[in-house]
Amino acid sequence: MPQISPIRNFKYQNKAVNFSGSSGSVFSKYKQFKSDQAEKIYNKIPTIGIDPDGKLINTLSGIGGWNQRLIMGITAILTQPFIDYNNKKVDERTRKYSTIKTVVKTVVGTTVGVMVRLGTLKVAQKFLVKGSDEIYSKAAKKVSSEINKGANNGILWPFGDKGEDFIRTARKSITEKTGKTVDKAADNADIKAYAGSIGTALGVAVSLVTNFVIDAPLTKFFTNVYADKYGLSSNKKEAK
Amino acid sequence: MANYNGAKNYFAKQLCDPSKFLMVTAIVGWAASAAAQVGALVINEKIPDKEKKFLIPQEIMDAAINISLFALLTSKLGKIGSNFVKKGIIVPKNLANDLKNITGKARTATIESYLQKNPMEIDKFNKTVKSVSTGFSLIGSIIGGNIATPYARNYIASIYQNTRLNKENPAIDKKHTVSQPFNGKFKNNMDLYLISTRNSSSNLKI
Repeated sequence: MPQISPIRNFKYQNKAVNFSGSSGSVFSKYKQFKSDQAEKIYNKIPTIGIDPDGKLINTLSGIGGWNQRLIMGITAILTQPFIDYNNKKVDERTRKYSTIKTVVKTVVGTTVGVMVRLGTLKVAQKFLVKGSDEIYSKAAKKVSSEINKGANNGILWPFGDKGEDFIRTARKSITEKTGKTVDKAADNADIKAYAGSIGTALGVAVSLVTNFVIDAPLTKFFTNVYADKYGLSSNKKEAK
Repeated sequence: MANYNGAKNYFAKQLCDPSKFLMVTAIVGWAASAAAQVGALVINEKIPDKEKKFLIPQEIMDAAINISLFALLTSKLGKIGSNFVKKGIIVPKNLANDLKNITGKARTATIESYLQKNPMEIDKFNKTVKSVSTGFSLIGSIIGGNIATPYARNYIASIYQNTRLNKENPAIDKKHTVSQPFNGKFKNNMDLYLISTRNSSSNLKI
């Protein structure tokens, strides 16, 4: 076997490192640089304590489809018409058309969007809470039968560490067997979030229809009404 | 409810992350809304062609820029928001006391050891991560969707309208745009074109 000199070996190793990293090293170095810079910035910012059960965190954690639609709608009506009306890159008539369309679209879109999302959320919650209650009532029966078995075997319940351990074990075995948890209190938040997700997903699906069936025709109708009101579509020749 | 756990895994674990979910719903919503609005504009005979040349690209660009900005800006801000909690900048009150006199990487280590010692606080910590992330995402979507997008869409749509009007009136275009190229006085040029095109019309093909 040919001997590899230490120098050659060193060169080879160097080359290997450079070669393998020729395309990735720049990217990874940049990524590392970015991460380091971000880390430096994060480290300089002082800590702020916030109440996890306070109004702000609770409000933010409760934001779902309809809240998001409402927030975006309100901020849109506060900013977009102003931006459209002050768009000096187009003539006044186009500007007015654009402003009217934006206002009408935002009001109609937000109203319909919030109603649809709120409706689908309520449907999902009703359906899921009913469903989860069924799961829990079945699971609870199993737990009580397991507890009775345990009591017959001389395990104290519900007092003492042994009793608590037993309940935990019983719950664990039920979860393993059925794939369902029996800790309703702990699962409530999860089910609520799940209902929220289903409701929002349904809302988006329904919105796909209402966008075409309600939003667009209403926007068209009211845009024309206000365009007439402000004398924008009075010239029929031009309209055609 | 038969497949509760399967569905739960998919929706609750993937989509219950509010920042991710907001993004998916917003993208789908914008695309559908834009399609409907463009359709309504195309068939709206009351709106003059000249205005349609602005309003239709405005609507298309509104969706395109919104989606792009939302994906780029909002997702990044959401991530920064969750990092703010994970790196010990915005943390639950109880944890903040432990981080008072600590800076740098030690904060992350302190958070980890605190949560190991207080497993009951994990839910509150996770709730804070999600909430702060949602808050940051929301700020991003408002800035991106309701401030940056309207300016950008109007700018692009006005260029499109102007280009179309120029193409339809090349004589006017040569006379004014060559001798008086666009140099920020867009409004003046536009007024000239609008006067020249007032009685002309053509079908918009998009």
